[in-house]
Amino acid sequence: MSNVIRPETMDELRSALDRTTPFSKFLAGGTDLVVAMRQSGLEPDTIVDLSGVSGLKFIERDNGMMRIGALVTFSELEKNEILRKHAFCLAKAASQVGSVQIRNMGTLGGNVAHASPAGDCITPLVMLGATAVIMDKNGDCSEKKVSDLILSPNKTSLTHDAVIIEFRFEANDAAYRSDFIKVGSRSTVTISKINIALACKMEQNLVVDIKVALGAVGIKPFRDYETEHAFKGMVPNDNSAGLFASAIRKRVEASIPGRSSLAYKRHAVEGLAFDIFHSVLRPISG
Amino acid sequence: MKLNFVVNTKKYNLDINPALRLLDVLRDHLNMTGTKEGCGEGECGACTVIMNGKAVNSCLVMASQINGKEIQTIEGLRKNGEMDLLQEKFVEHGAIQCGFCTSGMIMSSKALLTENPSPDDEAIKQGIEGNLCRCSGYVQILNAVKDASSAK
Repeated sequence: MSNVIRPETMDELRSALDRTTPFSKFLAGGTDLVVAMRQSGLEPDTIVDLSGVSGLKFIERDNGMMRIGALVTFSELEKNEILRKHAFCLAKAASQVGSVQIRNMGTLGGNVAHASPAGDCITPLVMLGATAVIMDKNGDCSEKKVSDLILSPNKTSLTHDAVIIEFRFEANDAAYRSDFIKVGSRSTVTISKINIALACKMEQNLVVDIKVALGAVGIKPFRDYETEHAFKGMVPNDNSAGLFASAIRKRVEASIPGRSSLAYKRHAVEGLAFDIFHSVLRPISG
Repeated sequence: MKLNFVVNTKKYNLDINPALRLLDVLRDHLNMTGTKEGCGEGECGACTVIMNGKAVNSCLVMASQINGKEIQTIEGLRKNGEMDLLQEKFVEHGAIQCGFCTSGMIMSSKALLTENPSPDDEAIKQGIEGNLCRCSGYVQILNAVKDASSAK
């Protein structure tokens, strides 16, 4: 039977970290861990239940830096006005995770730490260049890019005695517009087969900056720097969405060569890329 | 582990295995069998209860997480011997066939109507997106929820 520790303060959390082993698990929302414990007979020696820790549930913007506590739920992300304004893509991704019940429990920290290749909120975080703030058992904090923290499916560089407490990314420029789009095996309550996060800054009709990340089409979500480079500095015309879509398709073909799902993913991603391009790269009017 | 929590306005202070699921606590420790276990993995919603005002899958909540929380189950809907309006409307519209999804379906609808008393059809569909019904085709359920809302 697993030993359960239930820290309530950051100090109790720090001392809980000291009692973990490589066979321990953290529980944030529980929507992944509780299933894993029943279905695959996973029995951690210690479970650190983070859900009672106060101080890890905040969404704020300080001097243009967005800060999100690791225990913020998908429902909270989805409804947060600051986030909808400054990083719409992340609020949108959160709104499309699972069902109402899952979104009411599942957390951003859990989504990243679980490191599913299809984790919906990971793609926007990678696109935004977000970092995770990680606390170790001495109470020392360090920052690591989410794109470096995630190594491969369900694997991160986190050691057993360290925990994500916060995410940060720059959100100091209101001129950026962003979106998130996904496709799964059904229209809602579905796991991503492909997802895309796109952000763009336009000045009149000129693309001043563009960032795009793709999820569920590789061992982890990743930025597509080549496509970003090709579209930065351009003035979109009627052909641009098609060119963008074929650039993204090529990136997916290169990422999962030979995988059986490539046959449909190469077409599906083109449609998604076309749609998200139109949603984000509209010329600024008025 | 000592856990303090409230179920249907009654306070509990129990010493239970914190690695159990909320579903097991309700059914096996409190003998509240109105909450059903369907898939046991958060797909079907049959085990839905309301925790601190939010619909959750009780099969995915670990007992240690309910400490300090307020939980409402289907058993808590009846007041003074009278059914909740939602329950009445489910009966009236034939939204119950085999009945296995019903308590979860009603708890999701209850959470929805508490947050949004006059949802449109889309909002109702989203409110019950995490609840599967294999009998009805959902039309009767949608009509029952609409009839129980102030938007009818």
